[in-house]
Amino acid sequence: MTDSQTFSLERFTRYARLAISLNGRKMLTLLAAVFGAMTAIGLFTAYSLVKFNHLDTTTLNFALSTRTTIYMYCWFSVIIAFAGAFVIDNMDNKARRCSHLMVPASMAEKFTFGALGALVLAPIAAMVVLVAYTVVLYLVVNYWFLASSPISMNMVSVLSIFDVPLENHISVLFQQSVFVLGCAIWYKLSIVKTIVTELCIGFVFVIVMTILASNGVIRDVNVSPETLTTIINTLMAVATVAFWALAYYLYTRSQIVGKILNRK
Amino acid sequence: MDNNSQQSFLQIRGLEFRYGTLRKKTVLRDFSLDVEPGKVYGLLGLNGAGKSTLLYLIAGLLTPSKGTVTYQGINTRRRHPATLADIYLVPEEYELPKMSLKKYAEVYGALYPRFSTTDMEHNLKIFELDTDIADLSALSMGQRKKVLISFAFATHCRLLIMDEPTNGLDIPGKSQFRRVAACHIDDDSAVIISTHQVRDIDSCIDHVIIIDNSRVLLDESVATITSKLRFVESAETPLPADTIFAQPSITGHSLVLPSDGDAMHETEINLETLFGATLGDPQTITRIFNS
Repeated sequence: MTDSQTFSLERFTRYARLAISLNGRKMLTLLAAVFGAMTAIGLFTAYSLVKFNHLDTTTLNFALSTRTTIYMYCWFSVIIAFAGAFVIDNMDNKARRCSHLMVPASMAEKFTFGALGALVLAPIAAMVVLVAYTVVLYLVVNYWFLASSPISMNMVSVLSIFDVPLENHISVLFQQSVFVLGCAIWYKLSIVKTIVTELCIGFVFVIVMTILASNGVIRDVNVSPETLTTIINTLMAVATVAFWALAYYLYTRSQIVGKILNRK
Repeated sequence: MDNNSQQSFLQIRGLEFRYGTLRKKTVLRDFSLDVEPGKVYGLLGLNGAGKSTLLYLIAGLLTPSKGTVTYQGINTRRRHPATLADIYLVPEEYELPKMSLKKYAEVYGALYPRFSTTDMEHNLKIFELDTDIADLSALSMGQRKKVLISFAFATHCRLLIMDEPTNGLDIPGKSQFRRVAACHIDDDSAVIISTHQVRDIDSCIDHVIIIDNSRVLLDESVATITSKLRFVESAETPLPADTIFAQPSITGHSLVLPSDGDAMHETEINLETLFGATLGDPQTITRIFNS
């Protein structure tokens, strides 16, 4: 009895159907907006390379591939990170909170759906966006901008974005977990409030470290770059798990009153 | 109370709720209630008395400062899916999503084991609403309320909680609401209705709860109330000597008088006058029902 009240696959499926019906259109619209922004900026950059720099074929291909790979990875990271802000959704006003909390599904099932969306559906959706962008870039540069020599599709292969160091992926997941925690703390404008809070914390951290360093409290530490990278990766991985756990805890304490201080 | 506890499926014990900075404002204090199946409970109180707060506490949407609310032995604050599937809340503020009624019934109804599309359509027919609605979010406020009430009764949840259900309903809608409620209230279920508009529901309810200033002033069945109080319209002056409460009306005064103990002289309840009497002279009312 206890297990089926915590998580039931049948009930989770029914809840997933409800959640997709409620949010599917909104998510597709957001993805379309991301695709639009990504394509507009990307094509403008490509246009400036083709038309104003008068590059030879090899240099043009290299410039486009390098910039495109970095460019696509940035947008991929943005989609994955911001997907965290939608793990806890439909809670931004009292009426929606009431409706969401009264749905006959456990908090674990509701949270699991959001988590699957951020960890599984978002990367898939991001890949679809990148493939679409790749096709548009190839067609526009070759047939509209009329590059002096055509660029090849392989050059802008979407899979090249995964040829980045592990710490990049860990940092993306860490940033996603920050947004997950942000949406558990703030129901309204969680993305904006999370970014502002991160910037403030980062600013304070830099100030404090600068003061400590200038006072000689922090001396030169004899640590190799590899060891330092491992330490940072480990800390980020632990923080990622901790933020997800804390977000779930706060979510289970949700009430119809939206203020975090009223959660018990 | 012990006999009632054995029959009731919702038990509220020593409920207290405080809010605000440092939890200084108390909305409910030491509130206890047993809700039995087969009854309709009317929850009355002034604005800000705590009616909606009490409903949210019952539904598990708020955590009490003290006390417990248990439904069939399970604390509602735990929000067990089985509990949520058996309690339906029609809130005062609500939104309907941008989807067709058919889709809404499909996706939401699937989560309520006893939901019946046929019953929902029957309820909509009573409300004189078309069942072929393409976009729920495009309906007027009153129409959305009718859809929500129709869906609520069609879930066949054993406990229905309604916060101002007749707010926003047109004049025919109020009597239609009473017809829909009458179709669905049975011996296995209970309804708790919070309202200011007592005339919309006075023919429905079996049990009256009046709260004011964080306390329960009256918690009695209609049968008990009418056995101890009489509600009469009078044009006489001066008023009878044993008048407990008098409220001006078109015919003179609406009076609350003590009963003479004769069942033949019992009158129908007048919720509005009872409400005025309870708030106006709570000590007398409490003494009458505790004697």
